[in-house]
This record gives sequence, structure tokens and C-alpha cells, in this order.
Amino acid sequence: MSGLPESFAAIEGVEPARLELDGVSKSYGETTVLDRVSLTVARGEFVALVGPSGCGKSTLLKMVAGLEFPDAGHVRIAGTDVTDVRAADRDVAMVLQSYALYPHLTARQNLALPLVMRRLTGRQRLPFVGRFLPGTRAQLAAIGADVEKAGRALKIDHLLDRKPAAMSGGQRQRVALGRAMVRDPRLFLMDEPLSNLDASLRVHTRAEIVDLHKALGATTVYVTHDQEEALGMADRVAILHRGRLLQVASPEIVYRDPSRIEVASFIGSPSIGLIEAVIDDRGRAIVFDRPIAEGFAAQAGATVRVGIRPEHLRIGGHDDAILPARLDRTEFLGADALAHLRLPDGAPIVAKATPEIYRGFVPGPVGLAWNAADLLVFDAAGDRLRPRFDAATVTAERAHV
Amino acid sequence: MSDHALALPALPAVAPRRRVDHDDRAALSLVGPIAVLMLLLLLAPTAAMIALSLTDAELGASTITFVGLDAYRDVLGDRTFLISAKNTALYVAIVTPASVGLGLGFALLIEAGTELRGFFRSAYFLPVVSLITAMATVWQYLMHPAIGPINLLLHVVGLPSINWLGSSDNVLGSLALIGIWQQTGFDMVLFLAGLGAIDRTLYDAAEIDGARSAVDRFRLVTWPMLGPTLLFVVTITMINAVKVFETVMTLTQGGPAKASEVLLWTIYQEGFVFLHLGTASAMAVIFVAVLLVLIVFQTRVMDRRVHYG
Repeated sequence: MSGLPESFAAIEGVEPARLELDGVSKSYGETTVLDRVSLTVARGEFVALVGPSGCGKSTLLKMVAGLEFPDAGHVRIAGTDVTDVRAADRDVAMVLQSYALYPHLTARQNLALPLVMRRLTGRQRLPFVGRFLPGTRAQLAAIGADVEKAGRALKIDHLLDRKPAAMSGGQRQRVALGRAMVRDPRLFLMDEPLSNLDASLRVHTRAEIVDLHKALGATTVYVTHDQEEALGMADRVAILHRGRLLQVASPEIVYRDPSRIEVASFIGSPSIGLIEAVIDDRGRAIVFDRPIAEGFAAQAGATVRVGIRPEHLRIGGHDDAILPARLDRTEFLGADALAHLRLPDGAPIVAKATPEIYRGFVPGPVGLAWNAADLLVFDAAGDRLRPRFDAATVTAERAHV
Repeated sequence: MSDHALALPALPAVAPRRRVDHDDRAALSLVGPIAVLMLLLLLAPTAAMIALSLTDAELGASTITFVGLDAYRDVLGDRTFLISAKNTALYVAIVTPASVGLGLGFALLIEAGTELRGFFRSAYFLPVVSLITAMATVWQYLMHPAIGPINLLLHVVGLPSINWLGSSDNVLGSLALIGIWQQTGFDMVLFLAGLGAIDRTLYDAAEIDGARSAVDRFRLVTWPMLGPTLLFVVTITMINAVKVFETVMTLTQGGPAKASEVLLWTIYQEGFVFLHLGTASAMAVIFVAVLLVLIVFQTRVMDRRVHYG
């Protein structure tokens, strides 16, 4: 637990649960929201579920929580099939996107609520009468202590007697987080918990959630549309697109080795440049009559899309270039700079480098170069095409600027 | 720099003042028309009523004398007025909780249902849009002691028939029943709007927090979130109930034996039948004062407890 903030170290770990989704499908009328999604999250693992808005990631999370139920497939938590079990009986904690704090209750009451609901009987929860039933006092005292502890861990102990309306967005977010962690969940779900925070707070809270996950040890599924968040926080990233799970892998793999063109375009900022090419009879990808990559087993005449990350695109002289292009303008972003370019057919493409490299660049004709090993090639259906042999050496020689 | 600073106080102070005058005139010309209208249409009639209540004005009488608070002393000592106030209070005490409760119940049922929501909504709202004076004849028939379907129904199931409107013990309850019938749909529509405005994610949060039963969800989310709506509905319902008049006018005329004598009916009698303008005005002032106190209490005291933002 070294390296963790002092306050989180006090949190006792719980027995985390393994989560299995097995062929989960859901449709609303004609629209298929989820199409046979299978995903296993190991005990204690932090998985980020990413995808563009409307890809079904929130629906999938609600299914794990028990707020939505699949048309087909199974949800298993800790080996138990909970497909038809409602949320209240699943013992799953969730931070909702809008936080959904009860506005009429103080932070303390908000935090205590899940404990009150679970530890007290219906009769003990009765107004007035309940307080005098045997055991209620002891339970309430224990709940109060747990709430204090969670409040201290999240550094919101000074806010506990405020109502949500009297708190800032960041404070509310922490209360929502506290309400989820106060009952030591074995499965922790978060639906875009940072989307309502401003940029600087978001980066800070990101680190805190990762620390919290380490301290709690709970299995965590984290939904976000922000690929940077997903890459930075998760052990593994699951990319969902139009209701289908495209790839589940470590952040580095989904970035460097995407299996589908949608994954390549969604992950990475600015997004990957895609150039349409045709495979010739020697297995080379041809763009504007120039071979730009080789070694593909695809049929001659097949259309492929060649992807190149902005940071792999080099701008150099006209002569030794793989492709000619036009530089429209450069954009200074501090640590990085972007170069907005156009291919001969007018299609835009972006290159990224340190600002020093682009210093003195003026709009006009330039040459583009890259290392063939950095290219990501996809067939017409969007599946990844891998070269049969390492073609890097051949094109790399030409590529040196 | 210092020259400039020294020069400043010497600047003529006229310019800003003229500007203020100009702004004042603009403000007056903008506020003026509505202020005059409010005075004429809203405040003047009330003032006239208060003024009349301090006189012995009678319609048709040639003289009018200032009698101070005599009219109020008469009114507060008048047996009819006291009965009337008591009856009205009782009527409000029956109609308000019953129609607010039923309205909330129906709204929850309609909100929970999936089919025929539009139909139920319209059906319960019908009494609100129907003309109560016209519907009163229907109620007179329904509650007729001899040929009324309600009593026939009671007879069929072996219960004794009830003299709904003709007995002094029953008449106020019967009128309250009609009042509830008339008000419930209105309250229901207001509650439906309030229910629709509740953030759905709060129910998700409640479910995840372990609120298993509908009662738990109601106590945790629906009831507190409906607070502002409830306050408004109770206020509106009380005002409507205090103003009961049409059913009394058409069905019972305050009888039998003043058992359905209510405030508006008494004021109407005093002012338009006996033509005692002074006394009627005094009653009206008391009536408005009581309403105002109720409303102020509800908005000041209750408002603090139902708004969380």
C-alpha cells in the first residue's frame, strides 16, 4: 500500500468479485443496443469501457448493476448468475454520471443511506418508532462511524452536514464516490464520474480514483467516452462500438495494436490518419501510384485503409518523401505541435511532433514519410491486415528524411 | 498624473445627475402603465371593499355613515356567520386532504401504468373542465333520496338509504364528496407534472442503495421530490375549497337549517339578497384575511422545508 495517500490506507480491502458477461444482448424495438457482448473482468481488475456516445456502454453498465436486464445472455458476479436479480439485491455500488445525490439529505445522510437500507430492517427504518426498536441504536452508531471514516478518507468530513445544493461539483462528486464506497462494495461501477468536472479537477480526481481502486481492491468497471481517461486509468480497456465489443486489451495494446479500424480511430488524439490504398499484384498497398506499404496477402485490387498515427508522420523535403502533401498550417499546443496537412486528393491528415520540429515551417508543398512498421492497415471490412513478413526494412530506407 | 488627479474634483457634477434623472424618467415610463393598471384593477377594489366594510352602506339607501369596526363586531357576533365559518372550515378540512391524497394516488397509479395513460388522465380531469352548475343537477339526481341511483345501489346491497342532501347531518359531507370529485382530477394533473419532473436517476440511485420496495422508493425519492408540488397543490386545493359556492347555491341554498351555510354563500346572501353592503364587505375582508394568512403561512414556513436548492 506504499505510495497511497495516507487517508486511503485506512480503508479495509474487501473480497473483490469476478464479473462475467456472457453473450449479453439488448434491443429496444428495432434498435439493437448491445449485440452479444462477452467480457470477463478479473477479481480486483480495473476495466474501462469506452466508446463514442450511443455505443451502448451505459446500458451495459446498467445491466451489470441490475438497472437494466438483457434480452439474451448472462451476467455472473462472483460465479453466481445474477442475470435476473435486481440492483437492490446485487450488492453492487455505482457512481452515476449526474451523481444522483438525494437533494433533501445532507452529505452525511446521503452516505449513510445505503448502509441504513442494508443493515436495518424495514421496521427499524420506520420514522420515530424505529429508533426505539432493539438494536437500532447500535446499528445507527456503527453506520455513523463508517460514514465518518469514509468522509475522512475522501476528505469530505467538513462537508458532511451540508446538502448537495451547498456544494461545488467536485464536492458532490466526492460525496457520490463516498456513497458508493461506504459499504465496501465487491464490485464498483462508475458511469462517467468525471464528465461534469472541469479539466484540472478531472486530472486530479482521475489519480484519486486510481488510488482509491488500489486501496479498496474492488473490481471496477469504469464507463467513459474519454479515451485518454480510459488509457490512463484502466488495467484493461474495452472498446464498444455500435453495441459490439471490438477489443479488450491493455491500454498499450489497444493503442499500438488495434484489431479493428474503429478502435484505431477512437483511441488516440488527434485521431489516426487513414489513407485509402489499393493492393497490387505484388501485395503492396498503392496510393496515388506509389507503394506505401508491402507484404499483404490480400487479393490484388482489394481496397485497404492505411492508418498512421500523427506522431509517426514525418514532414520533410519533397524528394525523399513517400507521399507528397501540402502543409496548411501548424498549431502550437505547448509541449506538442500539430501540422494540418492535405494529401494530393485534398483529404486532411494531421501530424504531431514537438514544436521545435515545426519551427519555421511555412504552408506549401511538403513530403510525408514514416516507418512502415508503424503503419496500421485495415481491410475493406475494417479488420486489421498484418504484413506477411517484416516489410519495415524495405520502406524504412526510403523513409529517412 | 497628479495634475490630472487634482483636476478631477473640479469637473462639473451636473453631468451624472442629469443622467440619473433621465434613467428615472425612463424607469417611470416603463413601470407606470402596469403600476396604474395594478392600482385600478387589483388594489382599488380591495381598498373599496375595506372602505365599505367600515360603513353601514346598503344598496338603495340614500345615506352612508362611517361606523368604524361596528360591522366587524356584528359579523363576528353573528350566529349565521360563525356557523358558516365553522362549516367552511369543516368542508376544507374534508376536501383538502381527501382530494390531495386521491389526486396523488391516482397520479402515482397512472405514472406507474403503461397503457391507457392518456385515457385515465382525461377521465379524471373531466370533472375539472365540466361546468359544476350543470353537473350539480346530475348530482342532485344521483343523491335523490327516493329515486337516486346511489340509494338504489345501497338498497340492492341491503344497506339503509341515506338522505344525502336533505338531512342536516349529511349535507356538508355530501357537498364535500362533490367537492372532492371536482378537485381530485385537478390535483392529479398537478401531481403528474410534478412526478414527471423528478430526476429518473434518483430512482436508479435508490435501487442501487438497496431501496427494494415501492414504499422505500416513495419515502426516499418521490415524496421529498414532490415537496414543492405538494405545497402548491395543498395551497390551491384549500383556496378552491374555501371558495365553495356553486354546489351550495344550486343544491342546498345553505340548508337544511343552515347546515350547509358556507362563507361565500353567506356573503352572497348578505350583499346581494339583503343588500347589506357594509356587513358583506366586512365578511369579505375577514374571508380574504383568513385566506392570506393561510397562503403566507404555507409559502413562508413550508417553502423552506420543501425546496432543497
